[in-house]
Amino acid sequence: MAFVIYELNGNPISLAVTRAWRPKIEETAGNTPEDIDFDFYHMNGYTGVYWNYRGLVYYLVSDLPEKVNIHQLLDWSAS
Amino acid sequence: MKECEEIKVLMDIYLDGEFGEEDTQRIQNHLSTCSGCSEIFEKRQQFLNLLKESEIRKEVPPGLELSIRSKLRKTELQQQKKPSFLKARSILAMVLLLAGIAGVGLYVLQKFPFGSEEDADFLRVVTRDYKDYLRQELPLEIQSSDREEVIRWFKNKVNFNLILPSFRDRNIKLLGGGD
Repeated sequence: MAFVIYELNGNPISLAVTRAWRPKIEETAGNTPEDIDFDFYHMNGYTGVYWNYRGLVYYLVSDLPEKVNIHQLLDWSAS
Repeated sequence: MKECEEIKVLMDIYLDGEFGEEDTQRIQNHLSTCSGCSEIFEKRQQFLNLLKESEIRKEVPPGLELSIRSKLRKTELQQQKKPSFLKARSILAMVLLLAGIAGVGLYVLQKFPFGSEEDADFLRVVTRDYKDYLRQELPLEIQSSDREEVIRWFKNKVNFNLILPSFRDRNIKLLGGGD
């Protein structure tokens, strides 16, 4: 698992990435960013969002005081 | 005289036509021979005829009929509103069914809250790592704001080709990562 940290105005944002294990997700490897379905979750007081993209699963967790939909700011153009 | 007393007692029953043929005949024979009883009989018969012919009617207060009809209608409506025992049982059965479905749904949601157990396990790890990082218990192994450099660092550390997105908001900065 790749554990990457970003920061917004001093607030850390965690992005964990791992390979998708489910064949169903592997089949969606060619998805474009526009096709991404985001799933939200709440665990141990933290709200996160996760999604699948090109055979990988991304888990984004933040502790931002204000409600910011980080996933909407993702830019896949350089990927 | 004794027969006269008896006939006087039986006279009203005779006038109502309640006797059989034999008793009727006996009373008629007595009345035809006893002027005293015959006179009493005629007076009683006249009184009864007067009662039958008279029409005793009492005027009811205006609005009484309307009031009674209104109360009857209200009672009917209340009866309609009251759920019958059968309806109450149906409602109870429906409530129990919905509660059962909700219970099964909650059980499934608790057991598999994120679509799969793998997702749930991974979310636990990710959240724990994030908390550890916030507590400064999980230091970054590579500190860099260069996305390509971070991807290169992961190349031999993870068994997949890492694709890292950037963010449109330039205030979001990459700090680094670890595995």
